[in-house]
Amino acid sequence: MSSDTLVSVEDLEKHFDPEDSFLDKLLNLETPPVQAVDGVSFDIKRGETFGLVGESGCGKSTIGKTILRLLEPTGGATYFEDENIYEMDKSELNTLRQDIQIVFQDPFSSLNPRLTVGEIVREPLDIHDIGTKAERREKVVAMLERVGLSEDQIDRYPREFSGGQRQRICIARALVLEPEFILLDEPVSALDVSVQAQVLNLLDDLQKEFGLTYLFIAHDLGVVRYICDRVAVMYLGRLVEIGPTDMIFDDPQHPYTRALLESIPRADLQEQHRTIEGVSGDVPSPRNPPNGCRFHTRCRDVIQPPDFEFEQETWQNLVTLQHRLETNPRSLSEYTIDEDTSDKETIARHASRIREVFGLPTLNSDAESVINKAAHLAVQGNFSEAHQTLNNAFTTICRTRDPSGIDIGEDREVACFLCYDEPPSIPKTPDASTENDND
Amino acid sequence: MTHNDASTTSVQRSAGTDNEPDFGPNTLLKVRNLSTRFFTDEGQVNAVESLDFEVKEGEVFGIVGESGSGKSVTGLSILDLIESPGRITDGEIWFRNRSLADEFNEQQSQAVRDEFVNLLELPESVHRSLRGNSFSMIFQDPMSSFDPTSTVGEQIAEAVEVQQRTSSNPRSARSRTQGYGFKSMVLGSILPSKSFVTEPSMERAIELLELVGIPDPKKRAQEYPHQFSGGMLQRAMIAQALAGEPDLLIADEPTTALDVTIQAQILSLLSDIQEERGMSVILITHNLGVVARVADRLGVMYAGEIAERGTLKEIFENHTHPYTAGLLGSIPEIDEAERLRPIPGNVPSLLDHEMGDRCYFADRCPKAMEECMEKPPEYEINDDHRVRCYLANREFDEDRSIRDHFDGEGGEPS
Ligand SMILES: Nc1ncnc2c1ncn2[C@@H]1O[C@H](COP(=O)(O)OP(=O)(O)O)[C@@H](O)[C@H]1O
Ligand code: SF4
Ligand code: SF4
Ligand SMILES: [Mg+2]
Repeated sequence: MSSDTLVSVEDLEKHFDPEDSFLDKLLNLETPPVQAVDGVSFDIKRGETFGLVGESGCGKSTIGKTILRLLEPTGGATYFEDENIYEMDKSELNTLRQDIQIVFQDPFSSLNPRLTVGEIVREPLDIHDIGTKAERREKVVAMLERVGLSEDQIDRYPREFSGGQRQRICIARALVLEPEFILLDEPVSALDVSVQAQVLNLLDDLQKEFGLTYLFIAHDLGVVRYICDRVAVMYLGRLVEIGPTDMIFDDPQHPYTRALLESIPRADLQEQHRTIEGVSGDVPSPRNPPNGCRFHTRCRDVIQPPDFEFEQETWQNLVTLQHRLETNPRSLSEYTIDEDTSDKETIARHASRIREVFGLPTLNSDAESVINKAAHLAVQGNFSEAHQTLNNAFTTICRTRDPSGIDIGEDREVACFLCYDEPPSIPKTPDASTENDND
Repeated sequence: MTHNDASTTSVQRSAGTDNEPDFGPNTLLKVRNLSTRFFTDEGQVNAVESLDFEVKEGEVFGIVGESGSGKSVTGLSILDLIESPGRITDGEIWFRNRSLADEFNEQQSQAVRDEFVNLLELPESVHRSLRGNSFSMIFQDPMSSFDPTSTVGEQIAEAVEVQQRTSSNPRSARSRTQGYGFKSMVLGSILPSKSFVTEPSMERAIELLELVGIPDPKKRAQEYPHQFSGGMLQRAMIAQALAGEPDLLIADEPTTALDVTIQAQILSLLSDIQEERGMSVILITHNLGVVARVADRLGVMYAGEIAERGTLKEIFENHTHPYTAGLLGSIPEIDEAERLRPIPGNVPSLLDHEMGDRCYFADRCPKAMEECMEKPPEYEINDDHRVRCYLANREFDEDRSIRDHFDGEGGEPS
């Protein structure tokens, strides 16, 4: 670990065990755990703002809480100044709690309504027993003034303040112990744009003045571009790309990063002429994430099997069908025929319907007979065989292996096979896929 | 400077508005001088203040502004969904609807001009019966807009039935169907009893679900709202709003609760449907990127008024109002990372006794001058562009600046 690293996260994992309901237990049904964070590593340098972005539910806040040890991890380590925080004893933890602070998204629920602003900001000093009464007050006043509030507001209650002012109070409270590191979890998401800009500029100024290190969690990429030095992009519990902010925004490498950036509407006159391909469909469940590359079920660039040349769109549709057959075949039951129907024509009609729905046109290649066979199996309700048929014929590296992040130079890492100089080979048995590959 | 007597609230008519509405050939909706107030314990809230605007056929009119600027109340007023302690206190809402115009021409001629009816002068039951059929609304939070106890398919089928009953027998249906089904969509209130839904309307519901891009519509129709993701439920809400084939769709922050990738999907769905059907849309949002993506014209709302309005081009490139400039300067853009220029101070409360007679933006405006202590009228900059600010016809003059006056008032430093 280099000396300019303040926080180092290594292979962090946090799986939440489901609380199985009584009925589940009775029926002996096990719900798989939610893989909220699954093998994430990154370093935060002293004095920088490190951004963590991704869509809701991808695991950003869980990472934040776990590296502050507000949650215990199920694997991995977090080092703060070279000490593994999960191995700290009580007194070490106590010191840690002074060095690291947190500011949450919602300035309305994170302030105790029964305390005055002065009491709220003073509370950390009381807890850690710092200074005399007079010194504490002096400190509180100085902090309030620094964040743009005034001394005469010290005896007022949170409800008397606007959202932006409350977030200033939260920031004052976080700063009063003179921490080194602040976790900012969506600190401006609940604020109006004009007020959001005030708070962002304040955070920027405070960082310079106090030499703070920030971990900035956000889903608004405009805000991230504005405030972060480096950024990590998350998808379904994993990091897909890390690098300096400008490079991530100007030259994104991971297909998910590209789709994410493309999806943001720009306040620009040319916006209506910009084509957005974006991503289709919803994020899969973190209880049952896709094998291989977790993004492969929605990736536009998902790599084709070596011996075929599909139109990329057809190939992508085929991947979608495979994923459906594997994870939710019952959703296909509306295309199936009655069990006792053996009429060839009816079967064929249903098979072409399913192909139409999934966007799989008739092809002039070896692939045609395989797809046709699978479609016939599917309409007869034989989903697992249909799945096997497709899987045996069309294996993509993106489903069979898990891309670990690789260094592509310039302080960047990307977890996508397209960025590998030489992609690893496809394992012989396609279903050895569940085994992870990211150390 | 403040005054509490509601009856003396000065109504500054915008330049060029006289008493007769004039309708362009493409006008669908014309709102004139609309005021909606809430009479709360803390005082009278002027949520919407003498608002004028027009929506043309087949266009997307964007309303942008920060929270509390009156955007949602504007939408709800058009649908007659303002509830106590709120009330529409003044104004006219003209809507093009030939058959209603014919129907009411004799009995209530003051409510009719050409093919237009003034919704606020029609009997309440008639106004309400237009919901879902002539205009429809979708909301930010789809979860609270669906009834959790019936399936998504049933709720959409119900909207289909309301529409069919109303259009096959407009008069008699009115009294029975007012707000029926729509009520659950609007308020999330649970219907008294489960309704019986016919097979054809269920089929139509499934078609609608397919139209809005929901995979396995047949199966999804049988599911309950909580089984849908946020994006899918927003699609379902759009399907429900389309059931009555409305002429005007009011979309209030339709993508604010969604992730950007899903937002992009929903926006392109909305604009495809809008183009296909030639429907008009009022798109309410705080996000300037969203209006840039889909709107044709827009109004920038501040403190219950439209501060500036015009085509996208006029507003983005040729804005006059310092609030518009401030809003554009506050958004962190993903294409560049310049230092933000925030607007100092806070969004106003809209409490009548705190509003005063001056320009509502004066306390935050970097260019406030002596004349701004009196409310500016709306100036026309050109056919496509109007603004409520003195800078429309004069330059900022440092010597007349009254910034010091407000900074001395204990305004929040930035
Ligand atoms: N039910 C209500 N009771 C009292 N005040 C309300 C109610 N609904 C809205 N308001 C007030 O009306 C003003 C405008 O609100 P709204 O239209 O929701 O703004 P926007 O949609 O632009 O955020 C606000 O001051 C708000 O507090
Ligand atoms: S590894 Fe394959 S599926 Fe994953 S992002 Fe790269 S190309 Fe797409
Ligand atoms: S009228 Fe005056 S105070 Fe109001 S926006 Fe224009 S310049 Fe600013
Ligand atoms: Mg609103």
